[in-house]
Amino acid sequence: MSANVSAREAFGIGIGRAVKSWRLLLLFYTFNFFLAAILSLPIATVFAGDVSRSLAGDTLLGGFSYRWYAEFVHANAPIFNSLLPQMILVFILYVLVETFFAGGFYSAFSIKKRTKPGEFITKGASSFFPLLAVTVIEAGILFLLYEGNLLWASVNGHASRNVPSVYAVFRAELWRYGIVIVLFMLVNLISDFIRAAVTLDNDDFWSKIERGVNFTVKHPLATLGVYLGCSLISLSIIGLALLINFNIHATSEGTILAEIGIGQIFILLRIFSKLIFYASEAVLYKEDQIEVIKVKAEMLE
Amino acid sequence: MTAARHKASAPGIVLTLVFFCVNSAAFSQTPVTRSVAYVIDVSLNPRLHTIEGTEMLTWHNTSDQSVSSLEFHMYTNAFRSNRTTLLSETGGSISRQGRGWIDIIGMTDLRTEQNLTERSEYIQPDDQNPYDSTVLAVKLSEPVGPRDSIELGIRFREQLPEAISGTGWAPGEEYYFVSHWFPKIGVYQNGAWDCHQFSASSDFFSAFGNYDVKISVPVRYIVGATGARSGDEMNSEGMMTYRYVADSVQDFVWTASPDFSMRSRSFKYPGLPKTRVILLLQPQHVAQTEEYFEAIGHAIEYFGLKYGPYQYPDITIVDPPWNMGPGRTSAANEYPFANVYPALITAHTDLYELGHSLNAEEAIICGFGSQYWEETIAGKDTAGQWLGRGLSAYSAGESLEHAYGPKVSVYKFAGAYPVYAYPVWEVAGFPVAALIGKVWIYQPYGCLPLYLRYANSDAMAVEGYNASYGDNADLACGKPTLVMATLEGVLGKGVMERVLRTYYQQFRFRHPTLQDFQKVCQEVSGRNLDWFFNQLVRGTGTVDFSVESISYYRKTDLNSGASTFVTKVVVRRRGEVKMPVGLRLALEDGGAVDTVWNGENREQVFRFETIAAPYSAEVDPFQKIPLDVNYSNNSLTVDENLLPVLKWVNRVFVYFQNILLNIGAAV
Repeated sequence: MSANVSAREAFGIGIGRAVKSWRLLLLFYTFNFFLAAILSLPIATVFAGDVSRSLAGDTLLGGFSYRWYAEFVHANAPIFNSLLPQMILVFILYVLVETFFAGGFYSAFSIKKRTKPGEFITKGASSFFPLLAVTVIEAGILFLLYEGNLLWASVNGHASRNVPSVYAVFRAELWRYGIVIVLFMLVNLISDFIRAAVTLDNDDFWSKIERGVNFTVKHPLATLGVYLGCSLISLSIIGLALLINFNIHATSEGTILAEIGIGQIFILLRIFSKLIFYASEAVLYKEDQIEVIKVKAEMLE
Repeated sequence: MTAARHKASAPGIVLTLVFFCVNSAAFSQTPVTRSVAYVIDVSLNPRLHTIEGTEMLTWHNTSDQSVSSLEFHMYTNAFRSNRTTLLSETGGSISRQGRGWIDIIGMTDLRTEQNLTERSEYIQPDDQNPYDSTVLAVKLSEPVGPRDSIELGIRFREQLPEAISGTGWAPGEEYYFVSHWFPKIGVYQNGAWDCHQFSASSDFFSAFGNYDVKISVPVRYIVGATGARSGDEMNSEGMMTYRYVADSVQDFVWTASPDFSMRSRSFKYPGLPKTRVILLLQPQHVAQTEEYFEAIGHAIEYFGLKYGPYQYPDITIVDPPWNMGPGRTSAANEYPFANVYPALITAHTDLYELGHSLNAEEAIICGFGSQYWEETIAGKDTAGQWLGRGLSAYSAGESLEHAYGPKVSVYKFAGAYPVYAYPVWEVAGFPVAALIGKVWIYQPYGCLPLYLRYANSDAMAVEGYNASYGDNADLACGKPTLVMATLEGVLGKGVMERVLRTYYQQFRFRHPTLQDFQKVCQEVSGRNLDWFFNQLVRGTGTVDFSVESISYYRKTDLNSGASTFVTKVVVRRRGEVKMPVGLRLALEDGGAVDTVWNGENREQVFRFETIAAPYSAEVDPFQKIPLDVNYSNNSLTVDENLLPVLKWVNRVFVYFQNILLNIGAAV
């Protein structure tokens, strides 16, 4: 059985709806900007104090000084030592808020008209816990996959005789890594459509999960098409940013401003690709849901 | 050399190689009668991981006193239980299957044919730990007179431990690295035995001796050992016996494995003797043969021409199996071999440093540096030993740079700047790897993180220096290397090379002290360096010079109307170490004015009058004092420059933004 809309159609509609939802893009961007600022500010402050009137700054403008870096990290050890716990806390906060957003996104992108802020918040709030549960389950499965991979490697791979290098292990066991990567993607893909089901369906939690899984199984090409299409966009954006940034030697005011601009455009594009992802999946799922309702109605008649 | 050092590899440095070696007859040496000579015949039983052997020891009493007892190192007994001094100190633990020990089956005084086995007992001269049996004392019925000799016949049996502290067998592999393995006599000096227990801070102090060792292994095993192979013969029981002879070495180690792939090549450079290099490679590393040979060739030539010829005709490089990781690998610098790092980490380097890693080369060249400064010259006291470390790392760094250019730590992902990619967490404390592409590291600066961590520890010359502060490997690479680099800054590169050459020529096969090295430095440079060694080696102070302020005003000559700039620079000595330091006033027009501050006072004011406006003031402008603990405060610009701040804060910021996008739900 094929989906009512193809991956390409869903993708096209998704892009259109993501473009129209530029306010959501700004909302997401602001949120991302704010949390990144929380993480960056302590480092930026000590960094400015350290090099703004030092010749070390001149060196850093044109390149990098390992000597400066080693001493700077040592002198500001408390800040750097607390970076990881801070990041973990911010990551948790980030996941929670994006989970809240996800409900609103799926809801907003599943309909043609523009979502009102009230609806966005209501849907985000009502879907929050089911979505969080899905995310936790997904994370758990991915973790088990990851650990299982390591366990397998330690038993059969890394522990084998004369393993020359991790790189060689990687090459020699590419098939295993390939399987793990594909499984990772599938778990992520299915979880996405469960998320759509959790937001857009009205049944109980477990039925929604079943709906999401069934939907993916029923529409393998369409769901995979949307997933890979969006992934391709994300990777292209990252590749493009790498390429442009690689060629910038930011030593003057102009080039530094250009690098700043490229950085923010890159982030905006990544958020945009994320919204396309939400939108395309929501469109795909919603169209199928409408079809299901129609079939049910016809059957009742 | 310390036991704990065996267990660690320096952060950021990875590789695989054990070096060892040595000679059949040292170059440039007239035959020397050493105070000890060993003739050993040993057989390996791979099924039980045991060895059995006989040892004929000749010991010359070079002192003026009669000696009525002998003391022996029985190092393998450090792994007899978890309560030995070494394992108590390090907190190490060995499973029952992994334990190792050595027992004397018989010991005979060949002068009198008297059995000494019953006259021997384990002693604990350092800590009275009754569970430690790493020193054996033997009472003689007939003393050894001054300038006289004794010959002993010893039979011993040994259970090799699972790889630990530089010795043992590799789990899951047919690989043996056998060090500290035979009953080894201590050093008698100043009327007493210098024979310490195997502890975390053991220095393995030994006399240079002559060795003639026969090693019997199953016929399919390939053997490498200290010295040169002088023969082999097939035994009747499927065993092969290899004979190795080594003169003027501090110790004897050997390795055996059926998996080795052996390569050999001779190197001959103009003005230097021929050196034969033997590679014992893991089969999967055979493709890297040329790289290994190239690196060792560079080292032989560079060290030979700069400091003097390598003293032995042979050197063997051993590539251990991948799972001989830190803490269990064969690594010790007393023997003529260098550090061992696990192959797995080498590979890890391959993953992230595609095509740019010089880790194998670094391990080989650093190992060769150890041959010079820690094997051929064996520091007698703590300071002397730490001096050896510093010299090894310093000269190896010079050699590495000479051969391959500045060391590069390349933090790339898939061959590109990973500015927006995922973090690589290996860089301590900060995900800088994701922000920058290449980092060019002047060799000694690689030691800065380690030095800064222990900058306020005891002086290097203090006995407890190595035992009291964290990981000895950290200390080994830290201050000593930076002290040498700073000494070069003080003396100049040319003088430093002459110092090292002279020191090497004078003290090879000897046990110099720190005082000896200082004396050479002073004689070669013609300068009194008490201030340097007293503060930086015997003292605990740190070096930190800073520019506190820079201000200026314009002065106009009323008669000519010409104007000049009068700049006031205040410099400060924040550290305890007083030493001369350069001061540079950089000008807006690109010019500069240089002067020298003697660094005596806490604070000093300098005034400059220049035609161009000042741009900045900087102490140590040519970075001759790598020991200075704060590079940022070395300089001060007249005006604030926020561009570098903007550049790097933006990178950090975008990095975090990107990371956050990677962790959200969906996509």
